[in-house]
Amino acid sequence: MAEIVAQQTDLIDEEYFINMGPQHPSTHGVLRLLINLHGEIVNDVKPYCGYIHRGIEKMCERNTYPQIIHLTDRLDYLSAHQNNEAVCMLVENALEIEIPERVKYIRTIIDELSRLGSHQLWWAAFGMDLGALTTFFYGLRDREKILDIFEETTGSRLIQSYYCPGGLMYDIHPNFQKRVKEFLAYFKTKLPEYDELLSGNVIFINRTKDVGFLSKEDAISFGVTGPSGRGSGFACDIRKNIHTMCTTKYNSTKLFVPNAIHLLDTKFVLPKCGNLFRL
Amino acid sequence: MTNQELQQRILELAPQAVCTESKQYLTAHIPADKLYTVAKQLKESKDTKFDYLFSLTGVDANPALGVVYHLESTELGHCIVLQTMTENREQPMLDSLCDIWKGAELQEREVFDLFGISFNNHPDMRRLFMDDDWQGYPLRKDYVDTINIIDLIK
Repeated sequence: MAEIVAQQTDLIDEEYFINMGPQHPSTHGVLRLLINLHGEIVNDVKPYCGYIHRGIEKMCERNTYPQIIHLTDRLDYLSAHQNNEAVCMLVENALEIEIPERVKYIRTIIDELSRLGSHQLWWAAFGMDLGALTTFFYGLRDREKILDIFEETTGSRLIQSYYCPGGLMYDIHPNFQKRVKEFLAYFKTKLPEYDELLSGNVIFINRTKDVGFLSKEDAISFGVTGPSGRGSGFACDIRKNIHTMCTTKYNSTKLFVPNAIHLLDTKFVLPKCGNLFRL
Repeated sequence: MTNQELQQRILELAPQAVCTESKQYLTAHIPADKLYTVAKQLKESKDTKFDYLFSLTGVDANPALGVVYHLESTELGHCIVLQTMTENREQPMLDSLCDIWKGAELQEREVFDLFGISFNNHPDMRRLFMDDDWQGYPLRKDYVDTINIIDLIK
């Protein structure tokens, strides 16, 4: 592949191609990039996607609705509940099933916990990829607490398959409420610790500030949403968008959607976590 | 703009369009030759301003093949769904919307890879996930692959 790419472009002096293959600490085995480098400046990137494409859509064609939960779990395996929420909402809206209020509350709480867990892993791995190994330990230490709560209630730590179209597989564990409240109180005290660790660090700032700048128009045009979009000034949070017809309880909670100026700044994780919901 | 006004605007741009309204979105079936002009107008016109393409999905609706576009306006807040079909299953061709929404580029490559629908004026029309020499289009309903797909339902 590299030879074909090299033949198609004019090779300038000091410009060379590097294959950032699927086996690379940062690509995490899912992406292959052919990078056209000029020193340390990336001129062009040719991505080769599909290493993690598992044919889930095709498999879903052959399964019943409760069965596809086990497949869609694995779409974004760091926050498995949120994928299932989307699928369950889809089936429930299509079949016009009304789910109990209690289920809506439980689903919202568990969704947000899994979002917290996913974001923990994000910034932990991000710091680690930049060389700050401590962030990995701090982030995962607290993620383990969330996973312990999940294990008690759903039976499994990572890919839980807890939701099903129409409700939940089974009710929450009696300890669930107490443990979540304890965890949140503990987590709030840890947020300043994370802030102190990464946000002001001069190496982190130099490696991320103004690197890979994405303007707001480009972010909208490319469809970059979530934290990356917010880093570009595009405040897109699907939880707040009315047209998604959320069956969850986001309307009754105060949701602050921050708009960070720096791309990939850890600061936007913190206000998000801090204002998530009141139990 | 309300769904009524959007419907009117679509019918002005493409008189043969068929609009249906569901609980969530207004869906407009646009004939394939009018798709590009309608999409461009929807993006650039001041009162619609659909700048955010949040989903581009290929559809195999036997016997037609097509694409569904979900559009939203970040400023004005309204949404619309555009749908185009083509009856040609041997050489399906549709217009590319890459120069209107940049996110369409990779998504159209995915549709080409999995459904076989070719997009005119696409800067880089090649497969995305499968190998370059793969035969067949996996997400089509009549796709047969006895080696890789295990059919549990007989």
